[in-house]
Amino acid sequence: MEEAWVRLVPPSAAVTAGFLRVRNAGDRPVEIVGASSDVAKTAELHVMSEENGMMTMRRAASVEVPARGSLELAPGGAHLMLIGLERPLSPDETVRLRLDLANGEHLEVEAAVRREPPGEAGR
Amino acid sequence: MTRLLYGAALAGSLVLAGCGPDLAGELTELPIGGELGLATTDGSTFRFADHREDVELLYFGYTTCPDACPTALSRAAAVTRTLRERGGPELADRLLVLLATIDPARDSPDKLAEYLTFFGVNGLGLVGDEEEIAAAARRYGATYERVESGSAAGALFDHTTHMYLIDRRGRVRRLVRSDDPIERVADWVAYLIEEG
Repeated sequence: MEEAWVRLVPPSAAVTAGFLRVRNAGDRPVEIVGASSDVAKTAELHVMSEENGMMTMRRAASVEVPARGSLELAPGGAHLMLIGLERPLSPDETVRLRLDLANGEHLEVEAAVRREPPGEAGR
Repeated sequence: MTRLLYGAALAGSLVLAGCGPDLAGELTELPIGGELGLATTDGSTFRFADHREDVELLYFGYTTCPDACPTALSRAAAVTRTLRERGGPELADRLLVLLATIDPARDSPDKLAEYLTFFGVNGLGLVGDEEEIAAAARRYGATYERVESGSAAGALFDHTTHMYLIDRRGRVRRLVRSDDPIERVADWVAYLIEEG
């Protein structure tokens, strides 16, 4: 997992979103079936799509990382929705994200709290 | 003196027309919009007519929105920063960002105000009851739909992602799409401020 970040939101906000890229070097697709974080009561997978200026968002039971490929969770696409933030986030701290795989394994990553996607700072 | 002013204005418009994109052509009046009939955070009714000096970016959104709304407000903040770099606070402060909530049950006026302040824009939150908000959205051709997705976050909304760029006379001049370049949006806003 790489480039993990969580969007900084106002202190009163109950939800935010986590983004990252998951690479799968294996010969088989890997299915992500759940997520969690140390800063939120619940984490869910959400998939968004924008069509004709309309954004739709649906909770997804699972998302797949293709064999020898990668899955990007990025603004406007899919994200981990972190719900019920336990405390206000502050810029430049890191939070822990965990992905649950269908095979029972877990992936963990430290995600930076940022206002903007990496590479768009100050813009 | 009149001739001198006219000459200066003409030179200015030639400069505007002569370099870069055809901003006037990109900012034709659209047959949507009008007064919103929604209240601001302090309880008074917002009227474009009271903001003759300002150009507005209007967005229909909600604060429990995890991605599209923060992205839109971050973009509005980036436009504000770009205007500040170009013309200082005198220019940047004349862009007013309006966030009309589509989720009045959860978005209090205070919450909207905090949200706008957090993103660093000169903003106003707009509230109303469900019918008032639906009527305002209809006037702008904005659509939204409540989705009970079974999420722990409660109700979520599918909704229009573009912002409405509104001139100093309260007319919609452009739908700002979520992928329009920030520099170009700043060009549009500056043009409409200058236009009067």
